[in-house]
Amino acid sequence: MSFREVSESSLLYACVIIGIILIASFAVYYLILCYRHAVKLGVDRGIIKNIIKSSISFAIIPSVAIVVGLVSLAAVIGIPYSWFRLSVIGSVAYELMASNMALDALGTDVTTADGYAFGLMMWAMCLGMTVGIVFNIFFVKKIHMGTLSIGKGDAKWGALSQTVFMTTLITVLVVPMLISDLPTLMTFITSGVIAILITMLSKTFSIKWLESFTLAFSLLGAMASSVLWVGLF
Amino acid sequence: MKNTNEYYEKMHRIGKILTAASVLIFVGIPLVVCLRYDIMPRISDLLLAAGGLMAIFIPISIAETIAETPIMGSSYYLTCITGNVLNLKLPAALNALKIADAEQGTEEADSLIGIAVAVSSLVTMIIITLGVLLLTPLKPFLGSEVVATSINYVLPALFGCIVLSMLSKDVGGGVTINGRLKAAIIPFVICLIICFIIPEYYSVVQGFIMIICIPIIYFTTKRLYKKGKITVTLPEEKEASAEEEV
Repeated sequence: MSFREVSESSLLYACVIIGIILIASFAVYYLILCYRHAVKLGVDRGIIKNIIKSSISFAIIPSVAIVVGLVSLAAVIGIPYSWFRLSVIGSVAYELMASNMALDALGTDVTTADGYAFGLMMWAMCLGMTVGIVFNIFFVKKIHMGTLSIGKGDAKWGALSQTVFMTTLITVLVVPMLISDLPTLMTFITSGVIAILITMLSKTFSIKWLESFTLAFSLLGAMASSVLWVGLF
Repeated sequence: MKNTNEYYEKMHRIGKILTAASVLIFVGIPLVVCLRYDIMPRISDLLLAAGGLMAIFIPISIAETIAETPIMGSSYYLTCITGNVLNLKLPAALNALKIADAEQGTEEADSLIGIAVAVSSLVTMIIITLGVLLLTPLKPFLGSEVVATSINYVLPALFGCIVLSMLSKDVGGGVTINGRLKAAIIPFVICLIICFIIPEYYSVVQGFIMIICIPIIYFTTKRLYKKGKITVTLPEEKEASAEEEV
């Protein structure tokens, strides 16, 4: 069978649709569990609704960015498997790297590859990431419960110690944004400035709903500004 | 405390089951397709194609698990299944904590992060599905220069806003902390040096950098806290001092 006959086959489409529906149902189930528990803990339903609205509004833009990646990935491995990989665990950079390594292993390229090459690509993409998440089954609980037990007996140190991980993560992630190039730095600053303006606006004029959209508006405004910064620098 | 443990036990059990089921789905799709079309790869080809990838990505994913689990909590299982941790799930989690003014490491924070992760995962799946259905009409827009330029800046556009909440003294749940960023100075310098030396590999090794920085920040924070250079005010203390003033 040819590469395209397998990569665009109705069987693959069917498998992908079933796979996505199952993973989506896991997310829905998890949402219901967490929602019920938050309500049980006494969290105001209005706050939960705000979190849901805010998560929806801000998740749209990064998701559109993933769709842009889908266009380039689909050109290499076809639509259905790109659709599946990017909807779940995958990323464009990783999938392209895995597909190239599979083709290199066979000494072929996309124009001459056959169905066997596509099979090898699927496994290469699947194994690299999937083996990593198997680790979660054995260690996430130990890591999580271990960090929660830090600071027991001293409420102040307990509260402070929980911020350590966030501080580390943000420090490590932000550094390349500050020194890579001027458009990146300016986009970063623009996002912060927009967030400050929205916070001031919502507080000054008591527009409570606006606070839930701070991240979405900052993201959108800063991304739009990046076009300007790239043009200027 | 018993209820809290029961909650975490339950969420971790569910997380493990969902992860195992997802692994079956991830492996099941190539298995079904390869068996149906008789294109199952030979082990030697598979080792050649995936061996290098696994050697790189398995240690990275282990390092990221150690660094990200304390923040994402029991939602880390779903976070990994649905991917896009740094550009979607982490900002969604931080955003949820900020909206609810919830203190990190509490049961309330854990369930709210779960809501944010699940909702953002579903939004991504819906948008990508729409993208697939509308791929042909959307191609000119998605391929335009403006879109191509701006999508390269998703991360700084997200984190510029998120960093503000880190700069705040109010860490949620009514807890106020003064001076906690002092502990981040040395790791910040370390990250700068690494970023200058290997800028192109920084994102690949950032999981390992986090593992190096966590103990540095942890022990520096503890030392500064004991010396009184970092101070913590709990909500009950604020209430007591407000009552005194009255």
